[in-house]
Amino acid sequence: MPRTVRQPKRIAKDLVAASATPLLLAILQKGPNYGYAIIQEVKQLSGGELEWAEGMLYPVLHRLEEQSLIESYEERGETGRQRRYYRLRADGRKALAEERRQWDVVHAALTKAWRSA
Amino acid sequence: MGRRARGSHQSMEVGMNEIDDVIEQYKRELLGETELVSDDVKEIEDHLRALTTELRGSGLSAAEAARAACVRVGDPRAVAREHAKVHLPFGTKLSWPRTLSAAALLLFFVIGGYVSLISTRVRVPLPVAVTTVLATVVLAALLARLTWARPLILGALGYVAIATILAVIAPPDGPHGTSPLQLIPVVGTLAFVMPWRRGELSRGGYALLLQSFAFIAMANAAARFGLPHVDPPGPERIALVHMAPAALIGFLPALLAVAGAIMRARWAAWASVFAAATLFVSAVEVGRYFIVDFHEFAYAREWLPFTSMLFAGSLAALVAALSNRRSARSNLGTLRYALR
Repeated sequence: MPRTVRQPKRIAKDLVAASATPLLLAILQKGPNYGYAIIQEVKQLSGGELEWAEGMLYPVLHRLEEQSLIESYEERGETGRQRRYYRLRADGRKALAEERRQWDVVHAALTKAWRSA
Repeated sequence: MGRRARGSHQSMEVGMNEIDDVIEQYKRELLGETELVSDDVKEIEDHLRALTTELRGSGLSAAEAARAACVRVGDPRAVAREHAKVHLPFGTKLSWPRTLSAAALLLFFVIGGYVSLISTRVRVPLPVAVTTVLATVVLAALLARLTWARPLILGALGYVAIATILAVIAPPDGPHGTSPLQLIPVVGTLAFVMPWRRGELSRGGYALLLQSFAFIAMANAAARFGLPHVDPPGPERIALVHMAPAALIGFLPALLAVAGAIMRARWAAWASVFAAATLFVSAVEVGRYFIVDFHEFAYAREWLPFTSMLFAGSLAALVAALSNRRSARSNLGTLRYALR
């Protein structure tokens, strides 16, 4: 009887949602970017573990824009089509620093907890 | 151009046509959802085309790649719903049939209001006159398909429906009873514009609905002060003549709370708390008068429905205050949301 290979479970939906803002802000800190390329970057950073529903990326970007953390502008892409790019704003940098502090706290606490387990 | 080159050029063209067909179909479905604006659709189209190119590189045919890209971007309705949460702060836009049915009922109320206003035989209290003018503004907003009009109508219709049901169950003494038939247009329209689908109303939309309910309760209570004294006076009127003018004091804050909720201002929460407090005082006053001054519950049928509606309005204003505090976007608020 062939041994069944257990597929690793995907990252929980809540965790994916919670990490979306810091990830997007961190990616945009490197420079302006557009939706499709951001998705590629997330895949690459997470080794393919973090999979976003691709159409859902844009509402998240628009929400960050509404919160004045990022801003968008149109520019002609390499295909010749107009493309919407996003870049970080000053408030976005501050929000990213705060997100980073909070995630560091969570990460440190989990690391300690698992070490002592 | 050689035959092979021409052939490859032709197959590329066919491939592009297939991609265009699939993407156009997806775009049509997206545009069918009222929440999306054309810029959003353009952005998603750009994503679809980039993804299709990537998938073609993995060996899929043009049509297969485009279809797989559409699947990865997601169900158009779900994508539209997520966009709506950001772009439309009070919920999705109503379809035209639902808009027109709500507008027809509102128009009926508005015309009735103006007929009373211009009639010399009826003395219209100021809160009723103000509410009639506001109903006209809401009617215009509804026809302009501004998203805040719907929760306002839902809240007002909800109040009218519950108050009518109570009046049917426990009719006050007097020559005019309340016919259950009066419920049909109100409940029918309410059912038609109700947010049956998940996500049709946002948190801000529900806050506005409750705010509207509280405002109508306040307007209803405040209006009783302007009614002429009749002989023999109806119990509700006696109660209100003896009631502290809390509802009159709370009328403006209740109105400001509605405006503030539309502008998503932090102060709206405080205006709503004040409205909740004055409605509560009004309810206690009515109840106290009948219980303490009449010393019996025999009149419960007369005052209980009205007092219950005042308590319900107070509770709605309080919940709306908490919700407003959460959904507020700035201290002063902005008119940007009023135009969506």
